[in-house]
Amino acid sequence: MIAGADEFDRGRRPAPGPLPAIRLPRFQRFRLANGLRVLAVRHDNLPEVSARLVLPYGAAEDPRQRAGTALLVARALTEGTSERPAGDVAEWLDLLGARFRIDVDHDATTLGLRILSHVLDGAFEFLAEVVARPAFDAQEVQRLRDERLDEIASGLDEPRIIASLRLGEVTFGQHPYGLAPGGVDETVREITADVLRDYHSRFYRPSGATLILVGDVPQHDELRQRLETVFCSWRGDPDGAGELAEPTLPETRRLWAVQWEGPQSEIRIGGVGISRADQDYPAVQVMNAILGGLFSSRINMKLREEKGWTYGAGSHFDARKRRGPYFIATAVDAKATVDAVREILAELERMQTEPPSDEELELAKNALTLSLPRLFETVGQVSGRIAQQVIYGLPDDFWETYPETVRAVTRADVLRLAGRFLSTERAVIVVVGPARDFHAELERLGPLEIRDVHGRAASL
Amino acid sequence: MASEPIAREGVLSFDLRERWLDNGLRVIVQEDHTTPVVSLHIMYHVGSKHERPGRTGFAHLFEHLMFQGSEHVPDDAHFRHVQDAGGTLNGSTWFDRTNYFETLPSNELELGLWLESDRLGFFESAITQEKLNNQRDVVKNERRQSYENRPYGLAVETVLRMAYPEGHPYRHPTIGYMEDLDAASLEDVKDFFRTFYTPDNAVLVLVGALEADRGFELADRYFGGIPRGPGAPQVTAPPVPASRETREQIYDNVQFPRVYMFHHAPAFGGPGFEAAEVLTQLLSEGKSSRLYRRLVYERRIAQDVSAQVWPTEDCGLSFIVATARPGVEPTTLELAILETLADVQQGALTGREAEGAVNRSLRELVGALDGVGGRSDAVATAATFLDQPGYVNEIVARIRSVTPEAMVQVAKEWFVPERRAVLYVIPETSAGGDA
Repeated sequence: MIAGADEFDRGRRPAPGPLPAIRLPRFQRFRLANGLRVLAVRHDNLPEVSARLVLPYGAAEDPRQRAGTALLVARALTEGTSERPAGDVAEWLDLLGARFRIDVDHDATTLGLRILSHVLDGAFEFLAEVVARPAFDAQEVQRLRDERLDEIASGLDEPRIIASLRLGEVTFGQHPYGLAPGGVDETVREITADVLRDYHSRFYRPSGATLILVGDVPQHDELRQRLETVFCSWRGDPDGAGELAEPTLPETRRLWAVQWEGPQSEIRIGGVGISRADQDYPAVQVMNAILGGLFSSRINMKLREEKGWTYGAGSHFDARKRRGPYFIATAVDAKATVDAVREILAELERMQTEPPSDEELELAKNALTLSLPRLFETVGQVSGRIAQQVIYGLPDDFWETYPETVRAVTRADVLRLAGRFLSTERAVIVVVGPARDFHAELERLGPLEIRDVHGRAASL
Repeated sequence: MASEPIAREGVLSFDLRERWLDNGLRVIVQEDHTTPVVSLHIMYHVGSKHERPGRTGFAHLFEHLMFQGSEHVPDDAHFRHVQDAGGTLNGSTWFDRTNYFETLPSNELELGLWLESDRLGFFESAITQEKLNNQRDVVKNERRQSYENRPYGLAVETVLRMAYPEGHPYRHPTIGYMEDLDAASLEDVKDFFRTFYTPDNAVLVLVGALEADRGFELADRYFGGIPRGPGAPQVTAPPVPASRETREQIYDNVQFPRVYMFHHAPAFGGPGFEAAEVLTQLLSEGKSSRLYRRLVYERRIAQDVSAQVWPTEDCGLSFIVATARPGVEPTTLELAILETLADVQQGALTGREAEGAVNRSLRELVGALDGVGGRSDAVATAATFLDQPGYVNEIVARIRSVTPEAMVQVAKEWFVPERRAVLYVIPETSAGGDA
């Protein structure tokens, strides 16, 4: 192409047009006679609906020594009801063409249905039956338990899963956040049909639960009438939710290595982060975007684009009802293992001492605020975001005020929050890789503990 | 529960508008003003099947280099510009094509066009040996992370070697082999660019909140001056004649055996393709599906089972994959899969299960077309592979018309030993990689 042939200057980034108005969801909201809250959003460019039933109880309510109960309760819902055996439930769901997904974390249980809108009534009937009247047949429960045990065992074939599990344990110790929401082998073995029945009768109650419907849904009166009819026999209040303690950070740096023969090392470096409802959450997102939340963030640019040690490196704040984990995650060429750990620690230090440049701060704020239109595009995105608002009790206008809140974050805020969360003195470091090759060097970074894939003390 | 029309009349009929620029760039626009976003998707008709011997993985390595800056876009600025605008972006490489895409707020359409046109029109002056070396390291780490250090991560490339003869364009994986990545030179990069990265070898799709005429006008403004290429050589992966089943086993650092059963299959959009897709739903999607019910639920021999047809331009490929429960031999899994296929071939399908499989396929399709990004991908694929962007408006009808007989026919024609490769992945002696 001949230089200068264009009628415009390619050397300049094209100026954006005027900011479009964001289309935030407009709720219809009402409460059924049994106490179930309903939030419905019409979003009907395609004939589909995303439904999520949110129960504000999850793995944190698992009985002691029975971690994994909440997950198995949710899985058992579709394995037979008082009206029909497991096989018939499966056929019913599959004939509707629906996708049913459960999501159980420490804070909540979410039952998600994705359907074409012409089967909406059938989907309501399905949901009402499985949530209110699961059979918990002993044989089916035993099968689910065995499947979960297989799944736990298979996870130990994956270095990235091993690294994440071990990071949780070291970071949270005995706190419920220290165990994966699905429990571990020893706790899952103890789960029986009675344990599931008990959890279900206490926590699967309409009062306190919220049904979120997004997509091609009927108008208010019609919708309400249909839901009243279908859900009327589900009744009751939840009982006996415990108070979850606030986790605390380990006092000193903790360093674990798991021997795994492979071409890469999985590295996790983290600590205790922030709760979702914390006023500082948006500012933490800004800080995180600069540190490792974006492709163009400090950690990824250093480890991937400058060093070429990895396919990618990022930082994450998993904000929960209580302070959830924050962590850096990457997989690096095994030869660069200890160098990569050092570089990450250096970036964590730098984040606390070196204020972000104007450009970094602006990029982080723009990425967080200007992305809102595309984060509310599909029915699944919209219902997912509403579910977060429900679970964490965020105000209705959270997303409306969010851009303003983010815009107000200062360089001083970023430094303050980096100081609050990113201590390298108290960092938890987990490396899963060929530790025989690098343990001596890694040991220079702190008292190194060698563990096996299960997290038990081991030697090399 | 009879199924009703999936959509109100015309709802899944997207109004696609199309125009060719003088330099051969095909531009397709679909207006959707529901959300103030726009998806910009450019698909080049080049993928791993176009690679020459000894340069496997090159199309994908090249894709990485396209994010490393061009004449008017500094080295690390491509990602930064898009993220700074609130957008998201990526690229991907497949056997037959390479795509680059952004979803942006609708007021930033020009930013996307500027970035995409700069790396098509002004790439060569910005590429350096240093960038090549760096991205080669990144890609080698991608191979380590996503294949070598993943359980069963090398199974698919093994199956491709078994299923396709020496020299066949689909015989190697898009990620490529380490030694070939090492061999790639700056000269290779420039040759590849000149050969395949030309406007007449690409389709540009814009979906979202924009006026179609404005879309064409801007496409012409940013891309119109880029000269047509010499004509990219097209490679067609030839169908593999049915011969005999091939079998192999490999060892991996895993605890449980896994069976990969490969069959040659209809190509994307070709005769029988939709029937094959619906059949995979019937076989493995949902707990009433045949393979799940038999292997996981009834016999309890598998932890999981999945079936899929890969969307390839030429001859197609499909996989059935099942992981053994503790103590179960791979042979047991294979036999159960074969029994299931035999049931289907003998016509044991019920109308209800076929209806359910059709319903699941339709729901999945609508979900995939829901966002502007998924829709522009579907349109670009249909334009590139079939030369029929309007295929996206026909898929609903095609899927709905899949009958049990059509699925039986596909099973009889394709899921037979003469078109099959079977790989067992066997645990190495020690379990779990314990120290």
